[in-house]
Amino acid sequence: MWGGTCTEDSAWASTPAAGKWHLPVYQDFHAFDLSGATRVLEWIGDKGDVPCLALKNHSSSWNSGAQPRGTQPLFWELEGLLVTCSNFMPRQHYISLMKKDLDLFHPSVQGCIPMAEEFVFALGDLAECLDPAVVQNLSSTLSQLILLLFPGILVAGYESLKKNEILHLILPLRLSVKENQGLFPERDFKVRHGGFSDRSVFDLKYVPDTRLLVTSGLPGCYLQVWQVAEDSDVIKAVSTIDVHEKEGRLWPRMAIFSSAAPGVLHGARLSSLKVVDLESQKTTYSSGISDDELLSSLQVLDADTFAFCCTSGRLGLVDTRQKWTPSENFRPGSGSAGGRWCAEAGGRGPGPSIASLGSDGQLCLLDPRDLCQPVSLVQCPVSMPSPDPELLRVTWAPGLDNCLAISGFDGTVQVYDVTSWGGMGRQVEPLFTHKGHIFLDGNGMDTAPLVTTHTWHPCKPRTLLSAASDASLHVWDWVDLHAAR
Amino acid sequence: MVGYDGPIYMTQPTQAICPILLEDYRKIAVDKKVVEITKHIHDNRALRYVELLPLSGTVQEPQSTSNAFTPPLTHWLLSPCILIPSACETPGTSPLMLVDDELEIKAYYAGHVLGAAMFQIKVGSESVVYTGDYNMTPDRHLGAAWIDKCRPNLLITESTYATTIRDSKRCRERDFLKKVHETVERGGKVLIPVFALGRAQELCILLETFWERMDLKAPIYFSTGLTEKANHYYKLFIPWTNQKIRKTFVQRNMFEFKHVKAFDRAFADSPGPMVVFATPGMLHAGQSLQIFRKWAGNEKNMVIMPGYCVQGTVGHKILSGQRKLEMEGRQVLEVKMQVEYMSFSAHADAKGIMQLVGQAEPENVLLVHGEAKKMEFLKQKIEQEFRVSCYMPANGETVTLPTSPSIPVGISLGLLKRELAQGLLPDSKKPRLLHGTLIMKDSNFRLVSSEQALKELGLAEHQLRFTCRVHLHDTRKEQETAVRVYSHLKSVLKDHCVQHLPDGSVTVESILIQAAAHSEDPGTKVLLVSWTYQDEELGSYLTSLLKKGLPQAS
Repeated sequence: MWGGTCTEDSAWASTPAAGKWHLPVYQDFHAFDLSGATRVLEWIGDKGDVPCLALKNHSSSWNSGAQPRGTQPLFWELEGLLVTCSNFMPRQHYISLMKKDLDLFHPSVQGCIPMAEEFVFALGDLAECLDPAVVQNLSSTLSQLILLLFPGILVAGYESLKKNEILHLILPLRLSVKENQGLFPERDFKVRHGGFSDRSVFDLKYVPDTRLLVTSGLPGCYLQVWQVAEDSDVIKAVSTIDVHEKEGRLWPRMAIFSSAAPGVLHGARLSSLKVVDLESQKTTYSSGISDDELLSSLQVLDADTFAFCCTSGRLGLVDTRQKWTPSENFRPGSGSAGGRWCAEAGGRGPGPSIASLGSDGQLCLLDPRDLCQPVSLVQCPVSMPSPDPELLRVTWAPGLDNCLAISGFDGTVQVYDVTSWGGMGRQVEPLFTHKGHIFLDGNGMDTAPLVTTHTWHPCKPRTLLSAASDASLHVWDWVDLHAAR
Repeated sequence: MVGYDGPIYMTQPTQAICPILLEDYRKIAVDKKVVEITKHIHDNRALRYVELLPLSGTVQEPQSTSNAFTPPLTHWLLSPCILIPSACETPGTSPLMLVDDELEIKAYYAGHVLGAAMFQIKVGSESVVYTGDYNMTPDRHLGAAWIDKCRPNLLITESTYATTIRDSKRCRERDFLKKVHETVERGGKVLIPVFALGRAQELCILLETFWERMDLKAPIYFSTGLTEKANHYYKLFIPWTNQKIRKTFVQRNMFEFKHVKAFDRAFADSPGPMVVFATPGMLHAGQSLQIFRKWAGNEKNMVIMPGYCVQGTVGHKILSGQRKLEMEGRQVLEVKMQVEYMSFSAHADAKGIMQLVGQAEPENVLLVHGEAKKMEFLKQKIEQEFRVSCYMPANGETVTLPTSPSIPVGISLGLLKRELAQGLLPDSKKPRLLHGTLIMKDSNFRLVSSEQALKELGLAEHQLRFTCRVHLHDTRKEQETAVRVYSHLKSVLKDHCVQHLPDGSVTVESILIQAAAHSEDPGTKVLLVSWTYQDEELGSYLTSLLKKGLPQAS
């Protein structure tokens, strides 16, 4: 046995030979340190199935068709990818994409594209040739100059009395593509844009198809609108949206109605719920009721409807075209008293699609068509109650059926499969528990950090991101240990 | 190339390692790949100075002889090398090196690679710190870069990785070990092509520890030759490596591995799992390529590329996804083995840069090796957090920094004592006004009392006096006017010594006031007020007081 050389490895494997690990051996796991803890993990860019590259041609030089053959190809360098375009074939562009790593160029995608003003192509499978038809169909939807829609993530600090950073991070390439091809050396995040906020940021939303962000926080009852600069790496504050709330400790919850004229749905209470048009700052909807119940989460479901969840657990679906007549439940979990609740709609696959999580670890699944009768109510094995109910999170997996993750109780994130759940009061066991935040902390259980938020990767079904109070940010894959056995 | 023929300063380990590295690179150089030489030379801090020599220029000649590297190498070794005193890992042990009376160089430990250093160059009170590549995260064989609060006028820092938020070292290592472990478990062989220095030692320590902990039996081999030599040098320069290793050294040589054994050519054909570290790192020649050719056909095997590969090398080809390689003699090698790429680069990321700026407390920061467009945020962050100016000049752009050089001035003890006697004890945090005479002689500055200055310079003292006439309406005699002035001043200036002299004049401290009759108007008296330059303040005050007139006699 060597001297003190390997003490830090002690957490590596508690009982090495038996193959029982502190962390599952085959879990892909990345850990980063931010300059401050974040309660925000908001995706920016494409939330579709695959990351896309959109190009819009501004210079007429290469789509005029007048160029002689074999002209110098055009180059772009985008987030570690090199894009070349040349038109040595009449009325066609030859596009190739290369991974750029130092001087390592590797043509990953190549193909001919009919000449067009703009085009988009998928990077999902880097080895496949392009289908020009797909490219043309997509091309009409985009109008940005050159926009690489790699999934990026926005994080923001929430410390009071300190400047907080808002960062737009680009995921390492190996985490942006669907299949892990192993050949991406980069395991690091890149800071693409950053800005400073004088307030603590409790929530942040990206306004799709724009360069705008909206944040909510304390102190001061207003929403801050930010712009992500195009020509530099700075996020600048551009305007504010006033919120009328007398109580200084409350901060408005938010959700974005994305459309041609995006609007911000916000409110700290049911009575103060409003939709404000981002451009004109006009109020386009307000709940108009006197019910003062406090909100915990808001979620936009489609162009006209949104879901709300009150801290009491009261849930409802609201149609903004009608007067306030939500379909709602008044008491979740058959009269469980006390505790605070949060909820998320959006479960995939058959079965209930709304999940609400209580600070005592109760998880309630509901069918949006009948909110009064919960489909199931189960008890999760968590340390109770949550030390900070503001940090409770329940999220549905975007790429898997009947899968959800919860956090906010301790230093872990738990992943569940809800398929076989039914009835009331059952004890359930997670499929997987991410203990990385405790594992890397290494200071023993007393100071174990609390997970502040988590989110699912939009394209990699088994990848999640989680942040903790010690300013750590993890990207990890989960493995179904039961299925593996 | 730039015509430099001065001495080259380098750290001791660098000087020792240089020949090995150059020898290693020579082998590549004969393969006409100049690019990688410069790249890897760049990788070793002190070797960067080689760029100053006509090295690359000579090698670029398309010579196919194996001696292509010889002239510059010899040249290089013959050129005067001056050793910088070791900037060891232990904080507070960075010694100074005086180049001449004015220029001094100080090397600070930079982590990164063995022998890497950051330099502070100081002339008078002005200094610049140039970092080169550095690493603020300690790894398994080297400590973290460290600098004292040297408050340079300018800190020039590398910022290639400024926009990077680094994955934790342990996750990186975990991934590496996971891959090796998986392959060994299923009976495959793992090839790790390495360069002689740096990552090879790091990975060896990592695997050795892991084997010990996991009680693994598969053999680990280390290709002979260069790597062993390098390990030998590492042993010599143990003070440069990190503290843990140094401590262990008392009990046991950290670079003598229990599980890692010397490789023999015949081992490559042995059945069963094994891990082999072999040079060179880009699979372009030598032992690593031989082993690769033997193992490539089996999909159970794996090759892990721990670093960068130059275009044209086998390493580069397989990393680009090529699965059919054309070898010499039109032979086609089909690569079925798994190919992995693990990057263990040891550069400071944004956090590391902030740490270094915080440690050194410079007046200005200059970011080099980065893209300005992507660094505006970091610039703002540095400016906000440390309240210093931050610059990101483009190539060829000149930045002019105003500095306020401090000039040391000697003060005579007598002057200081006198000043001390005059007032309260000085508050160390507040600036205080001091009167004296500045003597500049032989580029030597001294502040002395004026008396001493006169004495030293053999000058007579000149007196400057101001005289002012104040007209007073008073019909009485001059003597009586003087008495009135005296009593008035006596009552107003209670803190001053006011005297009425026998000759009829009045004095306030050293200021003289005399009353005289007006030549034309008998109802007017003229007061002559006279004071020296030193009493200007009191003199002007008295004049303005007297101009207001005297109180009516009661």
